[in-house]
Amino acid sequence: MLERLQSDFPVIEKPFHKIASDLDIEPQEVVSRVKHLKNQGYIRRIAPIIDSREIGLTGTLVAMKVPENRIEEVAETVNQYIEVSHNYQRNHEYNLWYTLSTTSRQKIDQIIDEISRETGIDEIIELPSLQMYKIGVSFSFTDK
Amino acid sequence: MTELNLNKKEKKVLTALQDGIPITENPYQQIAESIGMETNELLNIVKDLTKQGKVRRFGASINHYKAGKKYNAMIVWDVPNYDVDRIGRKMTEYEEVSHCYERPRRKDWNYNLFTMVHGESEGETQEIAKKISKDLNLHEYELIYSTREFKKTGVKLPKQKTKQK
Repeated sequence: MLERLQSDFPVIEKPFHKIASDLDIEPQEVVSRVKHLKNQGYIRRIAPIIDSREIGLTGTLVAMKVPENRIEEVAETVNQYIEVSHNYQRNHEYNLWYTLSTTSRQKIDQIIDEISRETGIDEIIELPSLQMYKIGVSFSFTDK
Repeated sequence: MTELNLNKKEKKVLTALQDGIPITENPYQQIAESIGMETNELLNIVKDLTKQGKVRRFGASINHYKAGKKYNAMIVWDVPNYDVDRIGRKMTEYEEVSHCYERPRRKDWNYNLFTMVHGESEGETQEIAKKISKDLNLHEYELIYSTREFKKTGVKLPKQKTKQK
């Protein structure tokens, strides 16, 4: 079911009916199972995955060296920006990594500066993608 | 501010859909009603955006931590500059590699190729890194694990205001 939901979710009036007939289950059963998966947090959302470049967004990856005892506070400052789509703590001296995407290079610089000023952290590297070779997000799940 | 490469209706539809459809029998109808649009028109706009390549796919975002893929290693590689393109393409052939990007070197940062690898154990991701390292003759690399997720929302369309609150 998770695999079926990941790609090619039907863009038709009753999408869960189509999935139901593909999997040979009752539509109500599909709806209630998907609701359950979502409530349990296995599914974050069912939504269009946009190609940010195609719609005119510019993105980058930013890494900061944050003192361990300030990581939550700094992460919270970073998270306030709707332009931030991912934000992770990682086990490296650069320990906070976030992605930014917005409509201009200028705006990106402005946000990075603002975060730096607001948090007082200036050990930052900015790593825009120069070339994208693979961006695949489908996972296969083995039964356990 | 630079404009998005979307017309007004496309922007309206994507904004309404970006947090996800409701899990009901008529999810698109509910979204269409909320923005005062006919369901058919909304469906056609989404199909058209997909045809144009502005929507890469429609589907569920899975929380792979919850679904058992708990170890997400960002493997960063120091690849000779002249060979980045060939190596980048080679990386795509590994099923375990979900993302691969070339990024610039910086002062204090000497890795120029980034791959994401997901596994069910730390050992599994290390084995994958070792295998790739051997296959492609790349010996300068590091595995960097995410230890905490503070945000993962998918790219959002910008609003007028910068901050959410």
